[in-house]
Amino acid sequence: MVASLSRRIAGFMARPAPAVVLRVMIVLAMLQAAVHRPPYVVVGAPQAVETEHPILCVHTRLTDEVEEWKIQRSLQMVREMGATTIVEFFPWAYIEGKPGEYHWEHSDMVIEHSHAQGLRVIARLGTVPQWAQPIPQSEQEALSSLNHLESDRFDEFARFVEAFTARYRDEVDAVIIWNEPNLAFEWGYQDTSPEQYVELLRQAYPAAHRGNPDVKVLAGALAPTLEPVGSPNGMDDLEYLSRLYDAGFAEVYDALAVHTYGFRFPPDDSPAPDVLNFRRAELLRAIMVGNGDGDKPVFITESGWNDHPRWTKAVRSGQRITYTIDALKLAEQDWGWADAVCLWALRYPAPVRSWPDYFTLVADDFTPKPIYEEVQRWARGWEASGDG
Amino acid sequence: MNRSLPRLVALCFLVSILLAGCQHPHDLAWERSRQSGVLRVGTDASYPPFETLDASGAVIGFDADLAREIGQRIGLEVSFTNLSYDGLYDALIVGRVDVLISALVVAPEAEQKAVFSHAYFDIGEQLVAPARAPLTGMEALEGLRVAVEYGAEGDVLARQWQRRLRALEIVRCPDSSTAIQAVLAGEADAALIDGIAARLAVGQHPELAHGATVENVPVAVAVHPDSTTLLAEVNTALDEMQADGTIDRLTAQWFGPQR
Repeated sequence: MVASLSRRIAGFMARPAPAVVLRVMIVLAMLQAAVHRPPYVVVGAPQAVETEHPILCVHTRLTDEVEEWKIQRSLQMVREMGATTIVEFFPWAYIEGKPGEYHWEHSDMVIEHSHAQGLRVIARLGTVPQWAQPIPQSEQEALSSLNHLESDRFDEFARFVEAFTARYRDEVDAVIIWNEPNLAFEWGYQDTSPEQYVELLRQAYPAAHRGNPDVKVLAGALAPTLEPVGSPNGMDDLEYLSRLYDAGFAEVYDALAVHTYGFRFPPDDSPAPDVLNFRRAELLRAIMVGNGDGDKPVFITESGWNDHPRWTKAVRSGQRITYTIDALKLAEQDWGWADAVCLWALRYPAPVRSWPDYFTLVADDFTPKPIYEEVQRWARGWEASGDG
Repeated sequence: MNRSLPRLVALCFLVSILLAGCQHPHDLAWERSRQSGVLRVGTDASYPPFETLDASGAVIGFDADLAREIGQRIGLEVSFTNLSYDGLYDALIVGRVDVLISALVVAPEAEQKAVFSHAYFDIGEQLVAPARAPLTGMEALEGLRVAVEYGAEGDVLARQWQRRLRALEIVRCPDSSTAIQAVLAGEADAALIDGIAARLAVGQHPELAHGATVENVPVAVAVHPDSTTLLAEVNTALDEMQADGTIDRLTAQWFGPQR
């Protein structure tokens, strides 16, 4: 037996080296395929969200989630929490890696599972593919051009927006054009001019409606910031919105997307131009109304509190829970203009091991955090567990 | 064609792969600190008792003493750079500091920006109970009451154990100090709180003692991924400090006597 095995090994090794290497590679590939075979996933029968508070929405982070079962489980947990709506990011760079060549596999998967869970989808569109970015002239430019899109290529982004809304005509209710355009980072560290964003919307807005006449085009999604005009980092969101209106914003959007975080303040803290708190959304709303846009709704597409033990803008875990639920109640009762309040964020694909992890409702291994369970109790109308 | 040539090519290919794996990067932090005689330590001095500033602006705390002890054992003076928590790893990557000693939780996923030493502390959730009725584990809480900080990791674990045990009452408190007060007042049989709060509580209240560590969250020194020599030196120093009781002495100094 041993001699036979030795002869086999000797015979194998005596073969020409390239053949041996090839065989080893084939065996390794087979082993890898066996080890990494993804679990079989069934989409399942359509589900319906059970909730007493349809204003509840959550921002998911499925863009970088590769495994289908994790996408499905995430969306199941959104439904089970009692949220009616998700916001999810669909990067232009991932879908149109080459001009005119669309790869919809991942976005199809996310949309299909969302639909199966009975969830409304708000799709955020952005991130510039490499082919649409300017050729970097320096190493520094190469590092900073992730979102860099020159205005003479806005039409190519608009073409992608049209392709997206047309493909998901029956599944996606709203799209958000770009993200936090008042931050330099979101333009590849270029100028953050409000006029430029309106130019982008002038092309993306009609394109979205060509793809789906019924889709809502959400714009804004401004970062809450106090950066003064002229800052290299960005621009105060109130100032930015006012200047958007001066540039003709009213003609090129259907609803305002708003990011509003509580940081260390309770949700009922009074709004003021020099304070970043939850009710800052009311100041943005006042600018809308002042510009004759009071009939258009607002979608709070990012919101929440953080409970990292060391981050200076965080609160204690119990405060995070009570503030979050009180904020949802406040929006539901006092903000008739708010269509949805979306909490950032359900879960990250992997832990960051820093303060961003403490914005999530569910750990990366899908363990629900107490905030998930308490928001769920509120949304589903179950008895609260008590806040100590 | 000579049949040995393809074998030679394949052999060279395999050897080159093996050699690539054996290459050691340049440990710039170690070279620089040996030349200057100074180990530059990055820390966020806003996290007592690990690190904070005294009235003169000097960095003090458990980590500050630990850093000085490491420096002494590897023959380097220590200088502290006080950084914001968000900027710690960036400072390490660009070489502004040589090591980070700032109660940093080991993050194996972060190996592109840092590698971690052997752990010198554990801030994971621990049970704290009256010294007269110590608890060996969560199973021992059957039919008892456990105090936690509402919404924090102790609450997460308590909810999980509530599903496993037949009876476990969770007493939710606004913070870990209140959870300890609940135990002292007899309103709870134990508190499940993070390792920092647990050590401080035991250090301050002789009538309390540590129960089991329910979840491990190790804390370690972080170095640049290329700093293999410096990492080995730090690990040797930490191992010696564990063995000769220095870590225990520093823990007692900054958190109070432990039981």
